[in-house]
Amino acid sequence: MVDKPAHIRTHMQTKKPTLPTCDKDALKMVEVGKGDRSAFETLFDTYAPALHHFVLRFVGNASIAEELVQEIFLKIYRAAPQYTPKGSFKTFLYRVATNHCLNEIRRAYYRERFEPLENIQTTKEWSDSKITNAETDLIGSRLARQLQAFILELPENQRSALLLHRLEGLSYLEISDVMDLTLGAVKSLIYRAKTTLQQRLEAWDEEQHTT
Amino acid sequence: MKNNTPHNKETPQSDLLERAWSELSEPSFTQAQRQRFWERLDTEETSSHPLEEQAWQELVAPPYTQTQQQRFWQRFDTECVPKQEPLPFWQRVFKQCLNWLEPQSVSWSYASVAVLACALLSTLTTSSSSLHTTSPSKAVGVQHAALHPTSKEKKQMYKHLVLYQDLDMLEHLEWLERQPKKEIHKGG
Repeated sequence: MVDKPAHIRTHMQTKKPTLPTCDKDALKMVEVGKGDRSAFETLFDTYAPALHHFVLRFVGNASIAEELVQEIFLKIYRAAPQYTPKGSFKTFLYRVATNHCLNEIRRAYYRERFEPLENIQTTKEWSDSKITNAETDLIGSRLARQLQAFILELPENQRSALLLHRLEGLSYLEISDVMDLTLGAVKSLIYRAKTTLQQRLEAWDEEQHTT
Repeated sequence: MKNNTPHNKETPQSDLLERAWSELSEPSFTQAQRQRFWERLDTEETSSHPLEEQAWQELVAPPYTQTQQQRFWQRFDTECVPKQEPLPFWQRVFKQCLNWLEPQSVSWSYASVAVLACALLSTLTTSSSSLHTTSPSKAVGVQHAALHPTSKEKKQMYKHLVLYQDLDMLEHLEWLERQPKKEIHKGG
């Protein structure tokens, strides 16, 4: 058998990274499952502000974001009695959050396509309100608002991976756990998202300087 | 008609062609290539793009305000906290007695507390036909009776609360509990 080059052997022998078994907040979540409201209050106080930021960037609309954050935490609370502490609480929370946001976006799309028009807010209206909110609610410079607009144009899975990485500081491994993807797929999603954002921002910047 | 497809195996030339096609259609993406790809991806991923970096820096996290948090807890209380069913009769008696007699009676047995509640009720019912107008001085008397019931009072209250489970009496007791304590003491 032919020996493989040294750098390949090293790569192949590298121990597969693993996630921690569970953390203190995961144990707190177990307490919530036993009816401990104060444990739930602690988890809420710890994670709600960051989750709110994540959801806001994900959907780009302040009032929808607030409602989604509420629903995510209510979901977490109701799921507590069945919760099994494995991995970190944060990855569990963001798995629920990401799925909930994706469902919400798809539901909005479904409503637009299949419900009578007079009953619903169309995607255009939704997207107009996004723009309005981007102007008024989403704090930041013009450049930041432009970034937000480009984030909203990214495909959902790229958007999820990028925001989890950028805003929440989740590692690739944690993101792969949250999104149920391979490590390679996560890297690829983030790479594509970053490339797209970079290109669009540069084009936008150039346009600003020429006009 | 001559068959030009690469799968023609009729002649030695086509065998050669077949082998060439199969080799051509199965490029191997070697471990080394895979390694180089991930190295490049990691490098490009971690390399800084000044404009994008600046944009992220300027994308300020909006505050999750106190009002927003309050709205969440209001919704939580509405949707997740079970509505309290009225307590069963004897639990109400017990709770009310504990409220009334604290701290002295906390360790008393259920029966003793019930008996004291009965004493109180018995005094109330016998002393006034309209309990809701009980004067503060009378309330103090009632309290005293509850703490030091006579045997006659015990008998009466036992009849009303233990045998009849008299809800009206219990409500009177609860009403008395709601009255400002200061007034009761002032009256004494």
